[in-house]
Amino acid sequence: MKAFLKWFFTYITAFFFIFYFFQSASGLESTPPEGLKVDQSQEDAPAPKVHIHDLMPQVVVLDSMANLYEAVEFDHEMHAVEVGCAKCHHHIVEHTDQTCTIHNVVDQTNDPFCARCHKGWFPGSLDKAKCKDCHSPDRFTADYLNKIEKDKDIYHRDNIGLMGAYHNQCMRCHVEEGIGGCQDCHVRTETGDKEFRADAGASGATKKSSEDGH
Amino acid sequence: MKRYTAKGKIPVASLTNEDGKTRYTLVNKLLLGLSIREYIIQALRNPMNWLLGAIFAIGIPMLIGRFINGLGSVTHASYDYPWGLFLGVGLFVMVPMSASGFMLGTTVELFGRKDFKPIERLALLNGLLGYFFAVVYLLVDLGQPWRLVYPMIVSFGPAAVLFLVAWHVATYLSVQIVELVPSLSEWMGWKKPQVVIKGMILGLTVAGIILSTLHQGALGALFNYAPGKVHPLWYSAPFLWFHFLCSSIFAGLSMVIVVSTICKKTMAWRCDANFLDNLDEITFGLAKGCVMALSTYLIIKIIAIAHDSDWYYLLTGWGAWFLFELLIGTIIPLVLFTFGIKNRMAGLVRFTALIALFGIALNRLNTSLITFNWKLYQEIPHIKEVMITITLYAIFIATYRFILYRLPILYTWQSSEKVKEEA
Amino acid sequence: MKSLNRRNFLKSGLAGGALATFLGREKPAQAREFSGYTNKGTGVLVDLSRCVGCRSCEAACNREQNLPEPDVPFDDFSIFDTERHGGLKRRTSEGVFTVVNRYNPEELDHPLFRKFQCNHCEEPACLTSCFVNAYTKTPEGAVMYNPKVCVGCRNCMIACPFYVPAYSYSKPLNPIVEKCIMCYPTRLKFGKPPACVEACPTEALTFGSRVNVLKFAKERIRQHPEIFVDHVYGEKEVGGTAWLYISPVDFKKIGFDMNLGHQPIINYVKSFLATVPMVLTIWPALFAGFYRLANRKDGLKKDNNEGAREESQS
Repeated sequence: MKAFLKWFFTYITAFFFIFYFFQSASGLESTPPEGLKVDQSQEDAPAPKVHIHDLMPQVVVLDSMANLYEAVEFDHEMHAVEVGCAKCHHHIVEHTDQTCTIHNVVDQTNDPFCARCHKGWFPGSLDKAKCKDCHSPDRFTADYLNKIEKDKDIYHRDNIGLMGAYHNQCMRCHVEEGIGGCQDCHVRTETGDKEFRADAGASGATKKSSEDGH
Repeated sequence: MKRYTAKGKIPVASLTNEDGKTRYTLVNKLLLGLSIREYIIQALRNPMNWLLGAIFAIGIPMLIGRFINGLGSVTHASYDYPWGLFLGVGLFVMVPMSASGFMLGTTVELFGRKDFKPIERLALLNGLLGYFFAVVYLLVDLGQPWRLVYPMIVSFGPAAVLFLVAWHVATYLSVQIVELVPSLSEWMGWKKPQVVIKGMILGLTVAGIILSTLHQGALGALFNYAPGKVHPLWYSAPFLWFHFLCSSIFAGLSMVIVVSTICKKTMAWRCDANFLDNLDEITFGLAKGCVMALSTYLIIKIIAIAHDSDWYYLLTGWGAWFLFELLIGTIIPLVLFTFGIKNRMAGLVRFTALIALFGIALNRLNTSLITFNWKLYQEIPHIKEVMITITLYAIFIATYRFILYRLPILYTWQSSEKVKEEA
Repeated sequence: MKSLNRRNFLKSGLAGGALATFLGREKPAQAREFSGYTNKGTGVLVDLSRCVGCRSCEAACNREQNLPEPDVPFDDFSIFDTERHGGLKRRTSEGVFTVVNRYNPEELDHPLFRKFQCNHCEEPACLTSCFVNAYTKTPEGAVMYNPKVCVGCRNCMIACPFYVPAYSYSKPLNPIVEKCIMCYPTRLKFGKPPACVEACPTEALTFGSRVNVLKFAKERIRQHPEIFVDHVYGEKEVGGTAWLYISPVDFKKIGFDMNLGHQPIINYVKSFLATVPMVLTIWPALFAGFYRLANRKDGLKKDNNEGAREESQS
């Protein structure tokens, strides 16, 4: 039963994915998400700034846990429209329906303290908007640890790593939405099944008493 | 055996038989001068043997099972209670009850109280066997018993209390063996060891006191490592070792009183007049020692509560249990001993010694098992664990009796010279 | 004579100086108070507000340490409902070096998860209680265990204030103590974080030098007083531990023992250990004295007898 369900869901997911892919590839008109509709209707707004949706990635491939889970294609656009930029890009504090203006509360380039490292980052610079610009994917490597230990200029020493940043950011909403399970987003690979010992306890009905710790 | 002595058989008590010419062979000595047939008959007549046999029949297979299937097969394999009955009874109860050896040794050899001489060897034997079987219990409990000598030769952890215990018990065991060599060599007819050991006796006795003071205390100090686990009423970092040491004094003395009583009641044929006639007087003497130790113990117990300011706990359930232990194990024996000595009631004193032993066993089990992990849950030992513990104790009793029957412990060996003189 | 004396004086002064350098500098009195060995040791900060109870750390630990198959898969969360003896939550055991437990503190609207493993004390009780020196504290901070010398007395399990070491009771021939070793031989030694830290998706585990992660802990508490209670568990408990915890609720409510005190466990044993040399040195003299006293009468008697004999002879 369990195996059936698993296949069933995989199938359905795959089906929808393929369906969606073909739609976008063939350029067919599909019902755009509500947020986008608003954008399109106000396309010819005066004093056009660079439209944020043209600059931001549509899909972000997250594959840092590729050995345990298959890469996740994060629908960046959908999230941006649905929940807004600032929910995740927490340095953005202001954005309108049409555009997102990347800047910060304080114009930090003027603060010599911040400018030591962040000169030219703010405001409005999109090339420093990626998560990993601040959240290192190698948070616990010896190099990184040595750097934050020895480089006395670094202020943000306790900066969460990339994987931690993603999960802490995403799971806040996902748990509320009831899709907080690992495999709600990640499809586990065979290695992942092995890591989590998915087959454990299935073979023998009797359980070891080791968990009792009596 | 009683019937044989009544029939005129004399158990072996000298190197040569009555006519003073033929030497007893080792077999003669082992069979107590009886023929094999007679020996087996008397053994079968003894109900104690049947009881021991029944215990062995059940327990020994379990004991073997422990070594084949591991500790987990006979205990609950608890991670929270790493020390169960084997150590709770075997080490923490056996060792204080075996403190008799060094105390009587000190009394007789060091303080020159020759009036305790008739019971000195019994006390020494009680000490030796108690320690020996504590080690046996330990071997059963250790995960890898064949590594018991590791702290002596392979790897040292000298800051550990257990390191001290290991070294002291090992050394003290050798001291006690040496102290008992005279009785063995008398029995075997060797002469040289007796002379050698006579010269060493003072050194051995002092060594015995040092080692006993330290390891009796060290057993208590083992629980110093568990300040959060042993109940505060039983735990006191500065006093715990002294509690264990002080209580071991009356535990050892009470044990001698109880064992000597059993000897008098069940193997009077083996005791000589010197032993039987002096026993009451000696019992009162030992009881006086108990009274002194008990009163000291009572006071330091209370001081320890005051020192840690644990008064609050006395009002809890554990407090009631603590007071019960203190009452049954200290105050009642103290009162009864005093009353018994004053009114010259040997029977009462003997009964009190039994209560005191119960009290001391309760105290050790309270510290090591019952109040241990008082914040978690109460561990009820596995039935096999209980059974093996009883079996080992039965082996202890059987060995004890075997030696008492034979070696000149309860009686004085008639040296060949003396026999010749009489002839 | 005078010059010779002076020369000797100089010599002894030099020798004394040399000896002093050898023995090290004079230490201030408060140096006796234990405050951790080095600043080099690594540590892990466990931020309980971040843990989501995914059990990835358990899975990673199992793989890294080649542990046996668990009773249920690591993605089976029904295990949070299991209770062991005495209604207690899961603990480390034979083949399980780390566990995550779920708590439901009433002040939170969501459950709180707590990872549990060896805390790698700065002054480990297991180490100091071991009579064959089977434990070592590496400079990196891991508390290691050497199964080759272990006799199996399980004193370390008695001594551990956190109930961490487990014993492989099921093995008849070669039972050993099993506990987290912070992945020292495979990872920590090479500057890599323990497997559980690397596996944690929410970075509830922060690896770094103990000094640094302690600073992080305090900084997080300072920045988010609305989230955390003002306590870093493990900063001072039993002399400090390499693993530190910060929590959104009172530590007592999520299974932490708050009565352990700040003393390393060995300090409770020191008063006894101090009596050992005293007994060893004082007892022989004392009891030899008693012996002389007790047998003085015999000696006097003998003297008197001899004296009387002499008198009668004369």
